[in-house]
Amino acid sequence: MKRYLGQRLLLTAPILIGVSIIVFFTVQLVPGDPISTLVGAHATPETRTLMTKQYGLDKPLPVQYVVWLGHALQGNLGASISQQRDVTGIVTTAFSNTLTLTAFAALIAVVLGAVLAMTITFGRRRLSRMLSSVVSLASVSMPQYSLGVIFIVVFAADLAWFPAGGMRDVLEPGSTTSLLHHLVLPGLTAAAIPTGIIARMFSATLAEESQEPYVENLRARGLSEWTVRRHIVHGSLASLLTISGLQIGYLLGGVVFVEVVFAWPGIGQLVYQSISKRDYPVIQAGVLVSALAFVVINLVVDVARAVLDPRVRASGVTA
Amino acid sequence: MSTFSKTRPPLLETTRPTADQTVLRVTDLTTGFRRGATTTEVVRGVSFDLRAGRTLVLLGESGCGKSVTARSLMRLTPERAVIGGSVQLGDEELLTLPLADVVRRRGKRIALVPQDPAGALSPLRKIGSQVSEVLRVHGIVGTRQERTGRTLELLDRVGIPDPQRVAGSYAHELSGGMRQRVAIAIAVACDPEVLIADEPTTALDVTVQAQILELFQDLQARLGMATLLVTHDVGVAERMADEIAVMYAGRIVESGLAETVLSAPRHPYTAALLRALPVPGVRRGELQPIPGQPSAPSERPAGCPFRTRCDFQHDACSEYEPPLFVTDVATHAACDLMRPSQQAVG
Repeated sequence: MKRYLGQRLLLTAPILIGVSIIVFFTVQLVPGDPISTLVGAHATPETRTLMTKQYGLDKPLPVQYVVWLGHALQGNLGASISQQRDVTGIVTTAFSNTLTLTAFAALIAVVLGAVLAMTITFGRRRLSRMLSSVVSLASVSMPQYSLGVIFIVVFAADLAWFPAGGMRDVLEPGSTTSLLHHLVLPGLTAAAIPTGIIARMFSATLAEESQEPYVENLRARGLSEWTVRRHIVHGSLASLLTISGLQIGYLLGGVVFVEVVFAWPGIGQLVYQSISKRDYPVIQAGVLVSALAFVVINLVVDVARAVLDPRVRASGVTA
Repeated sequence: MSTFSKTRPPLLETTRPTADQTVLRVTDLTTGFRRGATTTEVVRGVSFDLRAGRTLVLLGESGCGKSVTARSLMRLTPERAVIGGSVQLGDEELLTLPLADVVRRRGKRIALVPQDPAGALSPLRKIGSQVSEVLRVHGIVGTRQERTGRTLELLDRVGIPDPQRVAGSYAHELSGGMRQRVAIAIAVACDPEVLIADEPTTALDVTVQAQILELFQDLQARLGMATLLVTHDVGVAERMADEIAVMYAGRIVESGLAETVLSAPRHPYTAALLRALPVPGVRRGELQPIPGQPSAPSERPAGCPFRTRCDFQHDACSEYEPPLFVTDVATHAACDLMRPSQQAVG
């Protein structure tokens, strides 16, 4: 187990370096430049040169990268060009908001997805099996932005059950109840697609696992159907983890839409706004943090898989 | 081989059926698979008795319905299977008993040894927990500690040299032979009256095969189980069988005492099977494979299903499907050639 963990961690380092390189250079591809945004169209060439120098943008790109990486490793992600604030602070706040939303959506997606999958596979009534199947298919096929708008129109505007946007109550910013209240609509919107995908993939895994020869043998040993199913679910947990890990990763990336629709002050909204302002340091930091989260989630999934499945531990790290 | 001494009493003190007593009586067993509106019969009117301490070998090519027969006895067939006839375990009719009651008897009174032990053991749980689970489910042993002790005893009983280590291992860490020993330990954990072994040595090396067969004989001598051994291997049948039932196209076509069936086969199919058996001293080229293949259950020819592959085919063969006739050597064979001349064609 220790060896596995060590191998897996070692493998993470090159991935992170690769990610940081891609992030740094992709941002440079965005047309326009930050200095124009900063000084306006009518600035003198002298001012432009000065500002360019001040932000270190006159140096060759590889040098800029090394400097940026060096600072990033020390937790300093630079200063925002558009907001005149420390990027680390901006990104940390936004990212924790995104994590709150993602974690809530992930919880819904994994629990609901697994329950739907088990109903599809083991449901006693034909009706419940079909209903679960339809629900999962519908939630996969529903575009997030239209679902979000439908939710706002029905549950926020018409019924006024939930707020249409924002994250906290203005009068009581610390209230957890209010936070949960704000979480419901964006959470459900973000969770819809992953719920459906988890339900469909996990039910396929369960059906496949039910066909394994060891399952027939469990029945032959006299175990009750209930116990046999518990073993089938146990045998499929590793796949559920992998599917969920991937989906949570996508959630982190895909939550941009939801954040914009529901005015959720998260990293997606931040990056979205920063791109229009050519705020390189914030874009870089935002994308880097999201990528980091993706890598960490997959690391956690792999380790959890190894804990669950002795064969993974034995075979070591695979691609 | 086993470190378990021969004088040691069986693990469970239960009233065992005395030797040769019929433990399981199968009468006119018929299993079909529904597909849409049609039902394809894979097992057609199979009857046999399993006796305590005796081994019946169900012999036949793959696809003849022998595995389905074995599974039908435990009602382990898929949901779309329709099972008819009668399977009596002691004085209970397993086919009409509520399924939940049959489930409780599986592994306790009637147990299965699988074909492929690699796939039959759960990959995620240690061997020890899989063995003790059976003991717990059937309420054989009370406390956890007792179960652990009993588990080690069982592993020792099936000739595993280091029970402690094996109990703490996962299936993928063991060799094929060891896995099959574990699977057998699980099957005999509750001292079943009936043991069904479905091609138990097919997935193993030849040398390991011999050891496993020896283990079966050893356990049967000690525990007095009635054994149904399903195999396609005439060599295995020769070595293990007290009685043999040869299956073809879902029916038993010849049955009787092993020695007689093997030395004086009366059904052309049995004779052909024996000619296809590699015997030491006979060169490969002299083996005679049976021409053709068994036809699929859905497209069986009218009359005797073997007639299209048979050297003795004649007009009567396509007129009716012969029932089992008593032969001159006191076996039964389902062939028109064995029809007593005075008997009316059914």
